[in-house]
Amino acid sequence: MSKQPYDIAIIGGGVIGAAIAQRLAKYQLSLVLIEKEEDVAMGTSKANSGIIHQGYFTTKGSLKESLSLRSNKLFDEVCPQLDVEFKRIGAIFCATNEKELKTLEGEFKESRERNVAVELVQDRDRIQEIEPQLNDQVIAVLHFPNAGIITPWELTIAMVEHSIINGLKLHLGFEVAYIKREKQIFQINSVKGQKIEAKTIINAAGVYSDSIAKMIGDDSFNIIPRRGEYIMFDKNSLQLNKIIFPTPNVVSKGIVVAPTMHNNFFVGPNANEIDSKEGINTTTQGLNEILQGGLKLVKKLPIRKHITNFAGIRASTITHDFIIGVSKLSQFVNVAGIDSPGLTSSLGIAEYVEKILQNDCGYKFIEKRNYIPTRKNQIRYAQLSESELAEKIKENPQWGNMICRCELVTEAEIVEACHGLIPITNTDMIKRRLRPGMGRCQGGFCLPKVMKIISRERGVIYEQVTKTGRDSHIVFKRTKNLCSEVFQGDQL
Amino acid sequence: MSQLIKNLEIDVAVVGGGPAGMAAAIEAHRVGAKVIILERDNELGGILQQCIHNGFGLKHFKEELTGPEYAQRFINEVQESDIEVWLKTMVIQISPEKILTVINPEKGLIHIHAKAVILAMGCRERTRGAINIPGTRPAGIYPAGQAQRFINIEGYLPGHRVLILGSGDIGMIMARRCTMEGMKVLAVAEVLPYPSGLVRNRVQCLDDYNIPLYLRHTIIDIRGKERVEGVTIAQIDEKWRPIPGTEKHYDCDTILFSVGLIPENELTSQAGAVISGNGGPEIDEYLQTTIPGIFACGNVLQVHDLVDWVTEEAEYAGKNAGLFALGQFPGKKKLPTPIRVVPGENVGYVKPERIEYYDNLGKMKISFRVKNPRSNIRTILISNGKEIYTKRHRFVLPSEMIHLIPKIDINKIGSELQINVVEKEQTVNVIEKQMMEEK
Repeated sequence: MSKQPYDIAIIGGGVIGAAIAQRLAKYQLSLVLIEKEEDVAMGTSKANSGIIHQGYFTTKGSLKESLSLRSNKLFDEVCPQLDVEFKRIGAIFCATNEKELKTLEGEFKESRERNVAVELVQDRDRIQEIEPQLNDQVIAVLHFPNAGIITPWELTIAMVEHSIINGLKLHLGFEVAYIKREKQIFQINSVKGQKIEAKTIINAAGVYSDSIAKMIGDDSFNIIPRRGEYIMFDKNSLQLNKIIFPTPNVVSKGIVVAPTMHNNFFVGPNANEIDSKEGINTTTQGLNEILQGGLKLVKKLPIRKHITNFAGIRASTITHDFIIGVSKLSQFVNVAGIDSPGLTSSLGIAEYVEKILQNDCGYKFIEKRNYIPTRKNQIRYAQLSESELAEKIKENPQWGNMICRCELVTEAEIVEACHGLIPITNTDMIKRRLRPGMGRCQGGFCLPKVMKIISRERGVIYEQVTKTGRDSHIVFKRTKNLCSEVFQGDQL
Repeated sequence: MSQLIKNLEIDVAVVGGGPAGMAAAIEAHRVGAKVIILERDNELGGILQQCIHNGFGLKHFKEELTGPEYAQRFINEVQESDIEVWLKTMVIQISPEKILTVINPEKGLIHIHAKAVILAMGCRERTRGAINIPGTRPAGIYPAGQAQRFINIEGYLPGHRVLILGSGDIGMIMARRCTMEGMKVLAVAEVLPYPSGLVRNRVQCLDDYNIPLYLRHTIIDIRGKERVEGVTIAQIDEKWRPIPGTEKHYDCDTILFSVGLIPENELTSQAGAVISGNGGPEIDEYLQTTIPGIFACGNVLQVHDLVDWVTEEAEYAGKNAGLFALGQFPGKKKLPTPIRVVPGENVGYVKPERIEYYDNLGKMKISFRVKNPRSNIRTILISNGKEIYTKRHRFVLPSEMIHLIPKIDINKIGSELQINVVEKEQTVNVIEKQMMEEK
């Protein structure tokens, strides 16, 4: 661990911690990002709707309102800089009766006051034109053309990588056990006995942000884990133009039907308060609930085309607003209670935190002289023309070895990802970067091959290649020790 | 066009070097066509290479072989011929003009211009997500075929205590295989009221090893964050809802899913061929898809119960494709309008879906599967509201394919031919029903 304390330590490698890191990495200061899992984007940031909202259905005057509105605009600037795909496909809220129409009319007025692009449509033909898949029961839609979709973990990874390029130190597998403060320096101790010192802490620990705050005696808030379950459908199984919402209720914006960046689509989430912050299981009732919810919006769901189901946990609080500010201890900044529209607000939150550091923590930020403003994604098979692919295979035969047949990922891409800025230690890390295992066969064919590439490239033995790190072993031991040489260096 | 993209001309291109692809290639070659096999793996044989149990070849070779032995007989024959074989070769596109775009690490990107194409890509396993099983998503959840690969090909143990969902053939065979490798198989759960695989597999793989089979049960929860820690199964009612109070909990670190196979037809639909209800391409009586000169056989067409039937089907596709490429296609006299072959009472799907020619009537093979098991029944072919062919069966099971070569008189067939599997008294009703629908 470094001798000199870091200027700023960010706890939590989700989209919020990553956005703050990416914002601060521009300046002359030493920065560390601490994450308990073996990769970033392992909590709420990897299991949410991936929607960039447009300030709708937020409370007037709330942080959620102002930060999400500001943040929505920032995506146009940041995504090209990070080489992250983002599409403003637009969102619609659907009314199926007069009462819901009233709600939408109210929101239409408020959105006009917020100065966002919005349209209330009651003409049946126009509704069908906006989204032909809509159920006939829909009598009106409130259309927000500037809402968009993004792959949330891709954004998080890109922001962390961009920060690393600009000097961020990333500590993965560092689960904070306790925090001490001596002579204005925080000492952050891990469960494994590692130690990191920093002058300022930013607590962006998601569902665990209350536990982190309590470590310094701040018990001003509690996180209420609220689970949302999802069902993901196969590519091109339903062509959707828009993100489709019902008319929201007080608890949540409701069960959505929306496309993803990769032409899949999903239905979800429901919203259920649960006891455990690790309760990322789906349930029979929950899955039925979201299918029913989806069927209220669209004509039909291609039921046999679902490829996976999953759940994510929102870090909610009783105030229903973000909790962002210096805690009762100076130089300890809470960024907590970031539930929906948290992903949307991430860039705005980072900008807001920067101001807090300047105004309340005494930082004067000076831009690095050697700041690198952009980050490039690795080249993907899908982007190549036939002649470009032919060139690539000639340069490197691994481009000619297709590993994932559902998502079309070659060996060359996986090898390159293995040696990326964040060290690859498990198969899910490859899955989030390149998508093998996210397709319709869910890794049925490619998993043993991906394991072999990680094993070879990272120099770990095959049975130590895990799914998500730690004890998530995929296989245990050789069945045929006598023949072990035969299996060594086996071809892909 | 880049200098690096090469071109190759061939009579017949076979996509896939498993049992279907090899048998098809051999037959196409036998009738005189120049043939290439394009295989994505690094060896021929397909999924047979991981099926190290026996029971293959009883029909085709009249002896009992293991999967690799069955495959090897065809591999030898392919290698002794001048059929070209490209391994590690992925077909990434097929155009309706029968130009295949393929990539290979050594050869690069090649356009193969074929006179005929045989699709033999096989199938993939249905996943946990496809049947919406709830719970967490830790390591230790595998499709049964993947676990089979880990044990038999990679040589690694995928777990210790196992529960298997689905009594498909691979699931039952893996119950035995896991047991032999020292794993503890706790139970096999099956949603249907009967085992979904072959009877012989139930006897030899479950009963002989005292592995309990729970019919009408499904998984209602999976626990564990990093690796599977436990699973709960429950009985389901007639509407497939779990019945409270029937839950059984198991501590286990592995769950295998053997819940069906899906023909893998992404290339086929991309080429523009019509995909029918069973997930395979729609074909005529010569196993030709809706694109002239593109044929299909094996599990990409319909999931087979026995590899012997795959071989038989593939030989026929290979012969027809070879003759097509040589300009000697056996279908000469086209019917004015094709006859649609459709599934009727208790029939899941039928192959072929259409009859295009006069030439083959009377020799044409019809394959189908029933939806529900029945005993003492008859298969009845109905056209124009009349019974035109009938055959008795002692019993039928959804797990077993049924093949018929019905003698039919072309003059008696209308525009549609319906296949029904019915009990004796039902016969009249079925015909009446069909006539009502026609009106």
